[in-house]
Amino acid sequence: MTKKKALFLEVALIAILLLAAGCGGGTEKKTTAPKFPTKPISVIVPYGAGGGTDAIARSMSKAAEPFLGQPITINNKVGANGAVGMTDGVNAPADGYTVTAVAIETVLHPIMGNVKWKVGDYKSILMTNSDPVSVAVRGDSPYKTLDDVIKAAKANPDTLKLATLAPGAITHLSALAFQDKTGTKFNMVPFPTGGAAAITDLLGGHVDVACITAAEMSQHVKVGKIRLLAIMDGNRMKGFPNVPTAKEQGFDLAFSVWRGMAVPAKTPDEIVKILHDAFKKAMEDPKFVEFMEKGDYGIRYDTGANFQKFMENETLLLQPLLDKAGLIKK
Amino acid sequence: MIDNILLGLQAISSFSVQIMILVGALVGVLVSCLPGLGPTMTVALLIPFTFGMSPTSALLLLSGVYVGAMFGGAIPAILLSTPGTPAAVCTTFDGYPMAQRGQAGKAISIACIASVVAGLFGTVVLMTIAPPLADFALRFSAPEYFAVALFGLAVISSLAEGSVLKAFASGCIGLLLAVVGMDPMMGADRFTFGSTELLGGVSFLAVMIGTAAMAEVFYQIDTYNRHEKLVLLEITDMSLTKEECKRMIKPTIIGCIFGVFIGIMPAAGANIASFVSYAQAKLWSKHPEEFGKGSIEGLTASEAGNNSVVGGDLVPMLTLGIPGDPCTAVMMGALILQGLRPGPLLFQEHPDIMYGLFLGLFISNLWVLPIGLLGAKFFAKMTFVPKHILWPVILGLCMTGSFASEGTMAPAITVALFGCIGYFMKKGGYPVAPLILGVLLGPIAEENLRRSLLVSKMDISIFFTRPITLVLLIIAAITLVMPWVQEWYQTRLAQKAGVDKCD
Repeated sequence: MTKKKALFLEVALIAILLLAAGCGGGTEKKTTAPKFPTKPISVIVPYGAGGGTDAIARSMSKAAEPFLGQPITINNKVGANGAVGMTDGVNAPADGYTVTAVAIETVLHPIMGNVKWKVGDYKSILMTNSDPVSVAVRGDSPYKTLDDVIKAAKANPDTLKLATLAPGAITHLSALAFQDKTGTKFNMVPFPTGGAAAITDLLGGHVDVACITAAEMSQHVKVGKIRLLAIMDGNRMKGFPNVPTAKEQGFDLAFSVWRGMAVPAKTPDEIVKILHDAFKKAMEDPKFVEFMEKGDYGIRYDTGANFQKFMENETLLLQPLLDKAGLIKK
Repeated sequence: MIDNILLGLQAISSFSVQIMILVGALVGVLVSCLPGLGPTMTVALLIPFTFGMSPTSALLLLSGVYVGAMFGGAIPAILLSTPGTPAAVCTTFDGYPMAQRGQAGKAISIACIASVVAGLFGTVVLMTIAPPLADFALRFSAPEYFAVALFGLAVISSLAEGSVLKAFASGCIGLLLAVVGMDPMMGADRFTFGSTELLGGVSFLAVMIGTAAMAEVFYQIDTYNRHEKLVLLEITDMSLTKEECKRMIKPTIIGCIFGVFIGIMPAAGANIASFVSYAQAKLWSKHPEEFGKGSIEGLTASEAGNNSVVGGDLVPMLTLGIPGDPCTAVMMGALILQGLRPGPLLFQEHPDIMYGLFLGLFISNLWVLPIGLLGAKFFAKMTFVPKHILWPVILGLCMTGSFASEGTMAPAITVALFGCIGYFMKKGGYPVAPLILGVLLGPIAEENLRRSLLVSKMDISIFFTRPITLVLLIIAAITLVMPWVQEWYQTRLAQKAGVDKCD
């Protein structure tokens, strides 16, 4: 019995040591070199490997490596819908060696009170892509225009089923804004696990309307199984030139799933510029462009300053919607 | 079909995928020979290493382990009379007496051939049955998915090791854990205690590694008997005569059919399959008196049964998301982590991965043949690796694997916590597999229940007026009482055949 106990302790001790070894090893990068970069750069992806944000960050980092002359490593820090990784990104040393792949949630988490930082604690490098949300129905649906849907919804309030993704996701917020602007009321059906399940329910006729990004439905749109009624963006989409924007149909709605790159706010501007130039060149790489088109990710470049302004605008736009939905922590 | 097979061929045609298939089969045979390691634990430990791989490589590595282990368990069963996996219990009945007669080599050859034939048969069945089942995809909406999840939870009653009540208690703990984090429908925080880490819920990978691997090590340390002496029998001539091969045919067919059939039933796994095959082979045999004394037929039926079950087991897991045994439950977790949602949609969205998996399974099974026939002597030695060397290695893998999964300490701490919880559960006779099932199926059940009620405006009749939902709910109810029926059937069968019931 004592031998057994000793053995147990032995093994437990090893386990504790391993745990301790895992805990240790802080960050020891404090050197401010005049030349940048002199060592590998790490990109924090706040989502799991294989998702959209991850795929774009990986592809772009690969293309940017030759322009920076240093390897770029991807670090997937998953958890709490991106909040964990984004918090790590804000708290990273402001030396340009830790870049964060930011997304719409970077704006949403601070508004919802999930994190202690603000969007302003990030300095953006550039915007990389933007997928506008669209209003869609099944290919054989009686609703041919946005107006048809609005009329039907007004005739029978709270009856038409409208599919959105997770509560607080941009698709959900866009649907709330759509209701507001059109004075309608839908029976909102959330699909928190992602677009695939919502699209299947739309195809199967289990929901009537969906507010999902056009890119996610593009395959079905091309074969006529899903019809897009409106794009929630300033301009028509390159892939669907026949689909009018919501604005053309009288409703000023612009919502999109966007992504970009950012560093902590205190990072010196000259370092941000070096990173910006490298990532911009990467975005022009034909291989990267091909990858983005293949994945139906709407490629959209914008400068760091514009992107920063854009994120602040989004905060102002989304705050009241989230408040109305009861998603802000008091 | 042909198109999909071509897609699958394309998916597995890369060198790295082929290597993963071979590594999977090798690791599977190896771990079933190493004392204290089983396929479930190995799959849980390997998942963090599969993140960087393509879904096809990852799935084939893990299913290769499953295939390899189903045969590998026979090696210690024959040589030591100690089943390497629970599914090899019936293999000891005739395998060990054969080895005692000096026919250990023959016994391993028979086990290997029966395993491979049955494994290939199981894969063919999987490939023919699964895709048509998936055609229901568009008819499935929230109420159907809820019914399916409930069906999966009903399987808990058959995962019980003794008390069904304890199994359900364990399942309920799993369901409660699944509640932690952001509410999927409204976005409210539940049991997060202000922690950002808990917003996303309890990491189910960490729960799986903790309960399936770490807790198992703790439990083994606790129940370890140092003075147990094992005597390894010598492997001699491995060739078989024509007569012996002929005698294998009938039990192989019996094992194939019963193994697949039991595998497809979501409530029964490999150990039941091998027992039923064994008992059936005895009923149909011309020499039932040889069973238990070194019968080739008995050995063949047991091994065929526990290998054809792999293909069968994957049918409900892939098409409906209902795992039939702990190992497939952990594999389902791996699938979800790869961004693949098990269910009817899987075949529409990822035909390349699915058919790649089917074709890869053929290759995994074929690899078992050379591994088993040529490597038997080496693997036999592995049964003597001291446990006190293996345990720290496993514990180390538990911690590093979970740390690597997210790059933070949170999952590693979760693993340690659930290692302890799982240990006390095991000690108290509470099986951990229902807990894993609860964590996996809880969110699916909740989300779809709530979406159904949103759509129906809180009218419960939505679950009784849709035919598919109703049928699924009835099957779930049957599954719930199935273990008692099975027990009754097994006792009756055992009485008829005159063998002891094997658990």
